[in-house]
Amino acid sequence: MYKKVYIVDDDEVSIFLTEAILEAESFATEFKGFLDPKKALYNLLENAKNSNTSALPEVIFLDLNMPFISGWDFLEALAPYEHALKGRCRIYILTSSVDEHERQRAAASGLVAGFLQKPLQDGCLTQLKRN
Amino acid sequence: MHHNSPPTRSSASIASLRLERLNRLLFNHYPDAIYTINTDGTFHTVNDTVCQVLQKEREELVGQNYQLAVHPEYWEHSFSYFKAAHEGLPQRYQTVVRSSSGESVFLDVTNFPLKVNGEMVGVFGIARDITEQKHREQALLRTTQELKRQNEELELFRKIIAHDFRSPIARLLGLSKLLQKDNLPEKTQETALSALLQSAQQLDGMVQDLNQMLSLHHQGDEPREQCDAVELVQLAMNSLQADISSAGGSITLDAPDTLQVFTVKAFMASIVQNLLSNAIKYRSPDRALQVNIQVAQQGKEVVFTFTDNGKGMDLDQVGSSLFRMYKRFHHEVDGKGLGLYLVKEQVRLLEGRIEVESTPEQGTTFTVTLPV
Repeated sequence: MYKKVYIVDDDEVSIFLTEAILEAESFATEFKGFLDPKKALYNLLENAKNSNTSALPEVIFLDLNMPFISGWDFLEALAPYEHALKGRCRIYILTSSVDEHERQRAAASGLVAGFLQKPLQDGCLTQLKRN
Repeated sequence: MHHNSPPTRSSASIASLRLERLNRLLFNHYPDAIYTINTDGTFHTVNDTVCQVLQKEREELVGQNYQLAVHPEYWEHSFSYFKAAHEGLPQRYQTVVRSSSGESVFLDVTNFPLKVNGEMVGVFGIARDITEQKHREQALLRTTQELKRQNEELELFRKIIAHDFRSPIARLLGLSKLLQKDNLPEKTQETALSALLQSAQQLDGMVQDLNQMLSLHHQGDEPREQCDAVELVQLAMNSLQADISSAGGSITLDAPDTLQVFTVKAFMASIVQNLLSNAIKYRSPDRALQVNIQVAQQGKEVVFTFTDNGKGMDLDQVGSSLFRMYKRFHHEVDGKGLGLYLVKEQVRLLEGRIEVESTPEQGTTFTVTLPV
């Protein structure tokens, strides 16, 4: 079981749902949902800058379509700290979008560990746990 | 070269025509307009087609300046070609002339310099009526533009389906699967059930939005009618009065008693309604809402100005996506994100303009300008 998981999504219901599914599957002990991606970003950048790796979440579920700061903007802001995050913090895109361009774009990003479609499937969670 | 000796054998054959007479026949009856212009710009000779195109008698035209027949918007343009031909260079160009009944005729013109013993004596011209062809081209261009716009719209719909419709559907799927699980905490189950309903309602709302948007363009063909812009604003204010007073807000209106506009009434009403309800929706929690609406006529246009003291936006950040569909710029407010898109489309269909100014934490001003 993971210790800490972040869910970054501008939609409250989505955060609730992802959290409830993860909880039911005993995915992690602590969940933190961020409605405002900026807050999640500050938190991550702070810890990455200070090499405070133990405070970093092990898994982040990141939505793409958010106002002001999209998931892509989020990844771009994290890019300078890729080395600090790699191996410590796995970022999964979790989107309701079925746009093939976005899947390809995610595959091209070094920071993204996987591209998941909403809603989270139990089968896919088992795989994430094993990873 | 000019004078072939007449043949002697037969007197009633083509061969009996003297070349000069043949030339004159050809000149007069040729289906294209043929003419010569003196160096001072006056017609020297014109054939029958010139007279037909301009709907004038030969006597009216000969001696008159050719520019008088040209459409005023093309004076400079045709003069530059005439001048170039006059300087000895053959020219081919398109121009527009006006017949005496005021009809515009598109012409494809060829001009040659006319020289006698190396000296410029005038300009020789052949002009073909290409009005029909031009009209076909213009119709084709309009169709192309319309097709382009419709394709852009299709691409927009594709994005809406891929991004926006998938979102409540994914939630419905996830929530129903979650509810199938055993041993779900009671609190979670309750939340999931109400979220299920909310997602279904959202999806329903989006279907209705999309339907409204699709029917917008058919409505664009609706006949325009005379209506009172001030009355429309007052109607919108009345219908939103409950929301305004419950928000502790106030609205002032600066407008003449009446302002008649020839427009699609439903569009204008929807524009006013949307901008006003946006002002209420995005009010600041820190101060009482104040909205000022101005309606004024400026020349052949009516200008609506909606000024509020609401949350405002950083336009540099929002940029061009302000009027896009399902784009929201405030976390706390439950917007469908379609309002401004509809406003922009309706303004476009009415051949008007919309502008926005905004300062975060101070307020926003929308200015809509529509033809009267």
